[in-house]
Amino acid sequence: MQSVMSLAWRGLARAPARTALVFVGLSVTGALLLDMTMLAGGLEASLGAVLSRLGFAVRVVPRGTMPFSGDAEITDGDRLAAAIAARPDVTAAVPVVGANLYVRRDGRRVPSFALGVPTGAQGVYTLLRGQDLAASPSAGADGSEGNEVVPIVVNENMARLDGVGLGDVLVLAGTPGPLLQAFAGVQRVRVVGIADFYFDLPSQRSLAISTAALRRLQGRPAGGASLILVRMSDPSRADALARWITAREPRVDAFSLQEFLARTGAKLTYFNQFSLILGTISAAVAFLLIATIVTLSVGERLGEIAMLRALGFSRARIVELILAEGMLLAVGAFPGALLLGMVMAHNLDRILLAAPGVPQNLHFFSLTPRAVLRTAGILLATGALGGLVPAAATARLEIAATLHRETVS
Amino acid sequence: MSGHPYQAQGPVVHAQVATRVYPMPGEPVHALRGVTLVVERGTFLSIAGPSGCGKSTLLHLLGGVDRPTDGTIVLLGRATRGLSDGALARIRLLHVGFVFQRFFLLPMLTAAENVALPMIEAGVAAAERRRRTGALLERVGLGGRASHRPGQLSGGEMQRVAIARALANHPALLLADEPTGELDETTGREIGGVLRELSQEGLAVVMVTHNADLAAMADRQVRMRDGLLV
Repeated sequence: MQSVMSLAWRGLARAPARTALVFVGLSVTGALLLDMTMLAGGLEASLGAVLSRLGFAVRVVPRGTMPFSGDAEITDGDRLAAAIAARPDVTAAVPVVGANLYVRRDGRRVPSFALGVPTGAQGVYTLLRGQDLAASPSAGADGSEGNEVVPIVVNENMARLDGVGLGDVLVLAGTPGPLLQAFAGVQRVRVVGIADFYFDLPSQRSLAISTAALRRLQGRPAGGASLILVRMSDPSRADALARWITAREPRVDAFSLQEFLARTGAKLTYFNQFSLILGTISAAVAFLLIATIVTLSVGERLGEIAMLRALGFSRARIVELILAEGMLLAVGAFPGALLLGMVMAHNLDRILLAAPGVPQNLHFFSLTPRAVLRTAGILLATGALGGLVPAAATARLEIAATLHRETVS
Repeated sequence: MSGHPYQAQGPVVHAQVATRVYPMPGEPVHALRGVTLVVERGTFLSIAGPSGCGKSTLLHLLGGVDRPTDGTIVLLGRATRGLSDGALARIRLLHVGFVFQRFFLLPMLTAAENVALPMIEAGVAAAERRRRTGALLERVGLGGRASHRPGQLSGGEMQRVAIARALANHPALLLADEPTGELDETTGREIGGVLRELSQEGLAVVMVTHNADLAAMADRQVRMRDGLLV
């Protein structure tokens, strides 16, 4: 086999300029194929990577919703979280409340998304600078004293776009204007930390505050939660825990990470269809390119092929040789396809991420080992199929007639 | 390596009333009309005749690259008509050598690599291949040209490389189709000399040629006309 590959490679090297051009052409089509493979599962893979970083194995949401997709609440979320946390395979169950608020500072009111988290909860966001809620002096703000300055953690957008820094005192309001403010609460807060909230939109302001303070500000009854995040000692048993939760509380949906990604993936089928169509076209162009070049090359060497057959090379060996040429073209083009595909994906990703409503930590094109292997496999199969067409013709070659024709021509 | 059980006794190849008809759209072409010929070990046989008389067709039948329409070709004791394509290829690989008018050397390989090709296909070990290749190139007077590519060799040198390649697997039969057709007279005579020497060493050599002088170098000459030996 090594000799066949060597012979095939040297056959291609006979026409270096032509072979180089084919490599370039295949690199371009291979790059598009890679990009489509990256796009097919890219958003799902990117979401999976971010969710895995958070470290929660199960997510519990009000039935029929996705996290923070509406105003629905798990009415007795605290109690359900406590029941989940009591299980031996659970290390933490964190009830999270989500709400839209306004941050008032220097006469401006900026809409922001607030996460109400129990003090001491870890992993809902990642602290970048300063202190966490649990470590701050008035962190235990689970009481009802509304005049106290409550600690908050804000995201980078708020720090960068609004000039908010550690120690700044802000006012949170439930409504945009001063008139309605009489009917809704306000809360003075101090910025104690700056954090990455993972799913922020490019200019979205987010903050974390204690659940009790947020409920008080919103005038919500105690005990409700928008989402419960569950951390387990053995995440491989997440599906079993999710089944246990939904059996115990039918008004919620509980998803393991895989199930959550599958549900999300099902909502992204248009990306898959788009990538399937363009990916198929790329593979077809690669096939035609390889089939054409190998057919031309074989046509120029019929005399040599007939000679090899006359010398005793088997039909199968000649077919192997031609197939190897097709596959080598695909293999040779792969590094270029990978490089070009990554550059193209980076730029396409930037364009798509500029669309409204896309969290800044997510990516449409994810370079995963699976995407690379799948592209390599498709390119290799395309090379073999491209070589198969001329190989099939060569297998039917009449040795004597070809030798005669090549000698008298 | 399992080769064909070559029968050292008896003729190397035997054509018995062999015919070859090529089906054509208008009328079939009768390239051979019943040729009987026996080639023994150590024979240097030349086949001469005008163009289109069936010389190359007979050579192809003798070497097993084609099968007769009727009659029999017994190559190394086995009738070629009954053999599978794979079995026939194996016999050609191990027991038949071919030399062509146009040499058909692979231009991207060196002289040594061209000579080694049939040995690679036959599964000869690398060390033995190197030893045999060196000896064969020395044998045809090209010991110093092993690393040269065909484009760096003269016509006569290329044909010598082709002869060395034909001898790579120690064949019993060497078939040469117009081996001097693209060479000058002097070089042609040299090639004829090499073929005669090989036959004197016990190899059966069958050569098709237009060249009367070259044909005269053979120890047995036959002529063909209209698909028949005359």
